Amino acid sequence: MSLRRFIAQRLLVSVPVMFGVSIITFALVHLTPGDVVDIIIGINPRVGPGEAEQLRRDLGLHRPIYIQYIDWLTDVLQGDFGETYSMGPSAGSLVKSRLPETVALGIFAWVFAMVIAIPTGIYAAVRKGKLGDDVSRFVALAGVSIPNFWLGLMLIAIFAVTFDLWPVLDPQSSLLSREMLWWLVLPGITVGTAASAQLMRIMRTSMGEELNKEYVTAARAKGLPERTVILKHVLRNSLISVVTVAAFLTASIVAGSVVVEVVFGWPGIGQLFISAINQREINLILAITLFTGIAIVIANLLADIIYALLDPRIRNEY
Amino acid sequence: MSTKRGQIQIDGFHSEHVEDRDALAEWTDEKQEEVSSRWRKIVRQLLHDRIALIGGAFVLFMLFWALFSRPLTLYGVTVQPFEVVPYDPMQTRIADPWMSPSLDHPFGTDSLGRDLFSRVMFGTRFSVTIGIIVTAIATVFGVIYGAISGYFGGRVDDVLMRIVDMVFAFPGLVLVLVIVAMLGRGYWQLVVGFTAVGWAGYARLIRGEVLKVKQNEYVMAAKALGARDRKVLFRHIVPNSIAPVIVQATLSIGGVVIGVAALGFLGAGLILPFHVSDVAVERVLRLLRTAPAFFPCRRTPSYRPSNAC
Repeated sequence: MSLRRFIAQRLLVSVPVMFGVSIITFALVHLTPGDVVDIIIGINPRVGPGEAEQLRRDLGLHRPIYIQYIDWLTDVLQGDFGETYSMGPSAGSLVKSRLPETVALGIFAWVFAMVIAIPTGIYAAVRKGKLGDDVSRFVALAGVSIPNFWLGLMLIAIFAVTFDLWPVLDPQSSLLSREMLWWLVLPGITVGTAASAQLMRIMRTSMGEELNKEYVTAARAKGLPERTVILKHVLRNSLISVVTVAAFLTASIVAGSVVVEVVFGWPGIGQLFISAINQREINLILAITLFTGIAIVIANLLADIIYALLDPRIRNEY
Repeated sequence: MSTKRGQIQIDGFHSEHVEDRDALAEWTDEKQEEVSSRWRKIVRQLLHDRIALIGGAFVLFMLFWALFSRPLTLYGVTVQPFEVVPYDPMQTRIADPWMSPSLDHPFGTDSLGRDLFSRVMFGTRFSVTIGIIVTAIATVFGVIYGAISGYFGGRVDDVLMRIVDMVFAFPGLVLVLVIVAMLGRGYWQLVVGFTAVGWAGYARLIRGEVLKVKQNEYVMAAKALGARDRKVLFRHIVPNSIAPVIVQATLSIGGVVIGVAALGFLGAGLILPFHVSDVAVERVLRLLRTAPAFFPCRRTPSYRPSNAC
C-alpha cells in the first residue's frame, strides 16, 4: 500500500471517531440530570417557574436532543462554542487565550520525557541485568506510580520553599516573560516524569529486541566499534516504536496537565477546565472536552502516520 | 523386533520414574481431592517467593485497616464492631490545628485539628473499595464486550472497536471529571465515572487475545460438535484468553485509587464525611502557598511582606 493511500485510509477512519467524540461529549453533558436553566436558577434564585420555562424555550432546550446536538455541532464547526454565564468572554475565546500556556507545558513535558528516557533506556538495554539496569527500572517504576499532584507538591516544598530556587507562588505574568518560563520548569518536570518513565521502559524493551537481531551480529563481526553499532545501527531501529509511543503519550500528558496546572497555578486549559466544572459552565466544559478529544484523535493519527513513514512494513497491516 | 505385535515400544520413558506429576494428568472422578494439591502447590510456590509475600502482607495490612478502622454497619446491622483508630476521624479540635507529626498524632493534625493518622486509616476503606468495585465492574463488562467483538469479527468488530476508540480519545481523568461534574460528587458517582472510562482498555486487551485463541483447533472442534456461540465463546475461548486481563486488572486497582485521590485534590472527590487524605493534600498546597512560615523560612519575602521570618 502506498503511503498516500495509507494516510487517506487512516483519515477516513478518524472522521467517524471524531463525530463519535462530539456525540459522547454532548451526551455526557445533556443526558445527565440538570440543564443550563437549573444552573441559572442556582446562580439567581429569583427566576420563577414561568420565567424558567420561557428561558428553556428561548435557549431551544424544549426541542428533541438530536436537534439540539445538530445545532450545537453546526455552531462548533463554524467556530462558535457558545457563551459563558459567569466568566464574561465566550467559551471559544477563553479556550484560545489559555491554549499557548497548555501547549508550552505539554511541549516542555514531552521534550523532558524524551531527553531523560532515551539515554537511560539505551543505558538500561545495553547493561541489561546489571546494577544500572535494575536501578533505572526501579526509578521508572517509581516514576509511573507516584501521583503527579504529590510530586508537584514535593517539588514546591523542596525547590521553592527549602532551596528558594523558584518562587512559591505563580508569577502571574505573560507566558514569554523570564519569570514565567523559569516557573514552567517545575510543572513541566512534574508532567514529564510519568511520561518519561513509560517511554524509558519502551526504549529499553525495543532496544533489547533490536540488539538480539542478526544485523547487530553482522555489524559486530565486521569489526565496528560497539559505540557505532549501538548509536548508529540499533538506535535508529529502536527509536521507531519510541517515537510512535511518544505521540500516543499526548493523552496522558493532557490528563496529567489538568492536575498539575492546578497544583502550580499554571494558567492553562486544565485550570480553566476545573473552574468551568466548579462554576458549571456547560458550554465551556463542552468546548474543552471536545477540544482535548479531537486533539488526541489527531495526535494518534499523526502517530500512525509517523509509524508508517518510519517502518513501511506497517502500511500493509491495516 | 518387539515382543508383542501391534504395540509400539517407547524407549527412554518410564512412567514409574516420574515423581512430580501434575495432579490433573491422571484425572478420574474418584480423584477429586487430588485437585486441592494443585492449590497447595500454588501456595507452596507463593511461600517461596519473598517479594510476593511482602506484597501480600502489605495488601492484607491495608485490608485490615480498611475493615477494622471503624465499626461497619450495613442496613442498620453492625457487621464489624471493632474500632482501631486512635481518634474519631471526624472529630475536630482533637488537638491544635496544623500540628507536626508526634507520638500522639503520627501524621500530625489538619486545619481543623483532626487527627490525620485516624483519617488516613479510615479513608483507606473508601479508596480500597472504590478501586476493587470499579475494576470488577469494568473488567466484567470489558471482557464480555471485547470477547463478542473479537469472536464475531467483521462489521460487528468494526463498530464495537470504533466505540472503544472514541472512549480512548479522551484523557481518562477529563472524562471522569465531566461525569462527576454532571452527576454530582459522591462515592457511587466516582464508581460510575471510573467504570465508564476503564472498561475500554479491557475490551481492547481481550479482543486481541480472542482473535488469537479462536484460531485453535479445539474451538473448531467445539463448533463442529454443535456448541452454541455463547458456549464456545465463554466456555472455551474466554477462559483461555483471560490471563493478561487479570494481570492488567490487578495492576489498575492502584491506578483507580490514585485517580480518586487526584479527583479529591481537584475538589471533585468524595463529599465531606468521606473525604479524607485527598483533601489533606489540597490543604497542604494552600498552606504552602499562603503560609510558608510553617516551613523552614528561607524564602524571599517579596510575596508576603507581612511574613517576618
